[in-house]
Amino acid sequence: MEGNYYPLLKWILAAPLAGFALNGLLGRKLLGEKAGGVIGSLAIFVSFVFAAMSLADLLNLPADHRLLRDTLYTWISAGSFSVDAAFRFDPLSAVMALIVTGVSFLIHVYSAGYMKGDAGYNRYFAYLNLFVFFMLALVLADNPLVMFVGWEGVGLCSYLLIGFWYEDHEKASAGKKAFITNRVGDAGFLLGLMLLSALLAAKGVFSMDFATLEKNAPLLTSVTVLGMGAPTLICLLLFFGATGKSAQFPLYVWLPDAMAGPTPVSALIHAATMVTAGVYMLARLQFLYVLAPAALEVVLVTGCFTAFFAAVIALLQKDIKKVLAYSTISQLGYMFMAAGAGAFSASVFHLATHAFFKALLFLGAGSVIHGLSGEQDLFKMGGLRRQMPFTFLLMAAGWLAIAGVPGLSGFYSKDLILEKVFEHGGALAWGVGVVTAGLTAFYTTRLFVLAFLRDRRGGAHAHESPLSMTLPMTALALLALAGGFLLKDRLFAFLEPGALPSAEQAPQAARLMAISVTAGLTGIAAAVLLTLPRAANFLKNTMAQFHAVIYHKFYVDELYGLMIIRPLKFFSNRVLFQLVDAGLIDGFMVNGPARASYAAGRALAKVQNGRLDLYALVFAIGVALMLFWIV
Amino acid sequence: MTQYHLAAISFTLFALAAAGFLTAGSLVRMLMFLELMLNAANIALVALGTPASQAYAVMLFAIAAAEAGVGLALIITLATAFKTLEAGNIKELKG
Repeated sequence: MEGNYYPLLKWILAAPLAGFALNGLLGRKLLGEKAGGVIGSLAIFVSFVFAAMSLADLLNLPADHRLLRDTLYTWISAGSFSVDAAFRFDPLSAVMALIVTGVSFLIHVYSAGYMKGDAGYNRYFAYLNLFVFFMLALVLADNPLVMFVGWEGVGLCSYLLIGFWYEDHEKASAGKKAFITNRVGDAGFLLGLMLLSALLAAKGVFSMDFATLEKNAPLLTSVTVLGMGAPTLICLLLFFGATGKSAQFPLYVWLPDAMAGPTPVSALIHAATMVTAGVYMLARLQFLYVLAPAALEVVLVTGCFTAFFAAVIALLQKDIKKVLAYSTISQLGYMFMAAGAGAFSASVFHLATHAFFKALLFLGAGSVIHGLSGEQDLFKMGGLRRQMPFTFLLMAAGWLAIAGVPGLSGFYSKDLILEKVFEHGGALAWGVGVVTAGLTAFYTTRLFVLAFLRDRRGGAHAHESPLSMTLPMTALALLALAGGFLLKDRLFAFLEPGALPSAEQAPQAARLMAISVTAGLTGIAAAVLLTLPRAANFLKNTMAQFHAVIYHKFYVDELYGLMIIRPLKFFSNRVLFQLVDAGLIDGFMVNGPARASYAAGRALAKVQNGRLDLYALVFAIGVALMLFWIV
Repeated sequence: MTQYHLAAISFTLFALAAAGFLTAGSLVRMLMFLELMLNAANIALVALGTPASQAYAVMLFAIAAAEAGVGLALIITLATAFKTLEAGNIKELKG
C-alpha cells in the first residue's frame, strides 16, 4: 500500500493553511490590507503550482498506475482498526485539486479588489484560505474519514464566510441556515460512514482507505440492513449528505440565502468548491454506487427534479445573485443526473466547466454590484454595456457558455450528460433535462438582457471595476469559452484510461444534440422577447397565480417553516426548555435538593428551643438507648 | 455486704439522681443531682475493689470538686444575668 510515496502532496495543503495562519494571527494591525491580500492570493497560487507539479509527475506514470500517496501519520489506531492521515493524488483528485486551486486563486485576486477597504479584510482572506485548505483536504483525502474532516471544515468556513458581515442580523442568520442545513446532511454522511466501516469490520476489513474499500466493497452485497441491500442503504445515506453539501432537493434551501455573503464568496462556494463536494464524493465512491443501482436511480431522479425545479424558480427572481444561486442548484442537478446515470466522469466534466462559467457569472455579478454600489435588483439595472464594457463582454462569455451555445464549455458537458442519461434509458429524465436546458438559457438570457442591454432603469451611478477584478474574470472567460473544447477528450482519457475512446458515437447522439441545442436557442429567443416590458406585464397579469407561486419559490421555505421549524421551536420551547430544562433539571434536580435541605433545617431548628431541661431529657434518653444497645 | 450490693446501691443512686436531674426545675438542684450522679459512679468504682479503680475514685473526688466550683460560678453569673435560676426560663440556647 505504500507505493508511490509522494511528499509534495502535504505542501499543496500546507500553503493555504499557512496563508490562513498569517492572515488570521497577524491580521490587520501587523500585516495590513495590501500584504494580507497578496499573501492570501499567493498561498493559493503556490498550492496551485504544487498541484500542477504533482499532475506533471502523475502523467509520467503509466496510465493504469496513476496514483500518488502521502501518509502523514497514523491518525486513529484502535486494536486492528487503523486510519492514517493520508492523501492521494489520482486523476480524479488531480482534476478537483486543479479546479479548486485554480479557480480559487482567480477568486482571491478578484477579492483583493472587491473587498478593498472592508473592515474585515484580513479576516476575510484568512477564512478564504482556510476554506481552500479544507476543500483540498476533502478532495485529496485518501480515506472517507479525512474526507469528512474536509467536509465539515468547508461547512464551517461557509458559515463564517456567508455570515461574514455578521453585524447584519439577516446575513448572520443566513450563515446559520447554511450551517444547520448542512449539518442535517452531514448526519446522513456520518451514518453512512459508520455503517460502512461497521459492516466492513464485521467482514474482517479494518482499513478505511479508498483502495481497500474499493477492493472489499463487493463483500457488502450479501449483507442486508433494514430490508435493503447494505450498499443501497449506505449509498442513500451518503447521498443524503451530498444533497446537503451540493444543495439538492430537499436540502437546497441554504444556497439561495447564502447569497448574503460577499459575492466572491458566492463564486468560491457555489461554483468551484463546496457545492461540488457532493458530486466529487459520488465520483470518488463510484465503486460503491455501482453496487447499488437503486440508489443511483434515487440520485438520478433527485438530480433531475432539482435541476428542473430550481430552473423554474430562477426564471422570475429579481435579485441578480438569486438567479445565479438557483442556476447553481439547477446545474448541480445536472451533475447528479449524470452520476445517477452512471456517467461519473461526465458529471466531473460538467463540474469543471460549471466551475469556470459559474465562477465567471458570479464574479461578473459581483462586478455589477460593485459598480452600482451594492444594487442587486435586476429591474434597477439595464444598459450597463456602456458604463461597464469589460464586464459586459466577460458576462456575455459566461452567459453563452451556460446557455449551451455550441462550441462553448456548457454545451459540451451538458450535452454529454443528456446523452448519457438517454443512453441509460431515462427518456423522461432526458426530456426534463432538455426542458431544463431551455429554461437555463431563458433565465441567463433574461439576467443578461435586464442587466446589460436596453436602457437604464435605475438612477445609481455605474462605473467599471478595477483591473484586479476584470483580469481574473478574463481568465475565467477564456476557460468558459474554450474549456469544454479543450477538456472534452483529454479529461476522459485521463479519468478513465481503461475505457475505449468513444469513437463510435451513439446513432441518435447527433439528433439528441440538435434537440437540446434547439431548446437552448429557443430559451434565448424567448427570453429576449419576453423581457420586453409589455410582454412581461402581459404574462404577469394573465398568469398571476403561476407568477406568485414561482416568484415565492414554491413556498418551500414557508413550508419548512410550518412543518419543521415551528414544531421544532414549539417542542424546544415547551418540552425541552420549559418542561425538561426549567422544570425537571433546574426545578427538580438543582433547586430540589437545596429546597429540601432548607426545609429539613427549618424542621430541625424547632427542636433547638433553648430549654436546658429538655436537652437534658433528650440526652438522657440517648444515653439510655445506648445502654440498651450495649447491654 | 457484697460487691453486688454495692453495685446495686450505686445504680439505684444513679437512677434516682438522674430522675431528679431531669425533673428538677432549678439549676442549683440540677447541679446537686449532678454531684449525686458522680457519687454514684464513685461508689461503683469503689465496689470494683481493684487498686486502680480506687485510685480513679479519688481522682473523681477531685473532678467532682472542680466541677462543683465551675458549676456554682456559672450559676451565680446566670443568676445575676437572668434574675432567675429556673431552667425553663433561660432560653439562650434556642436555635
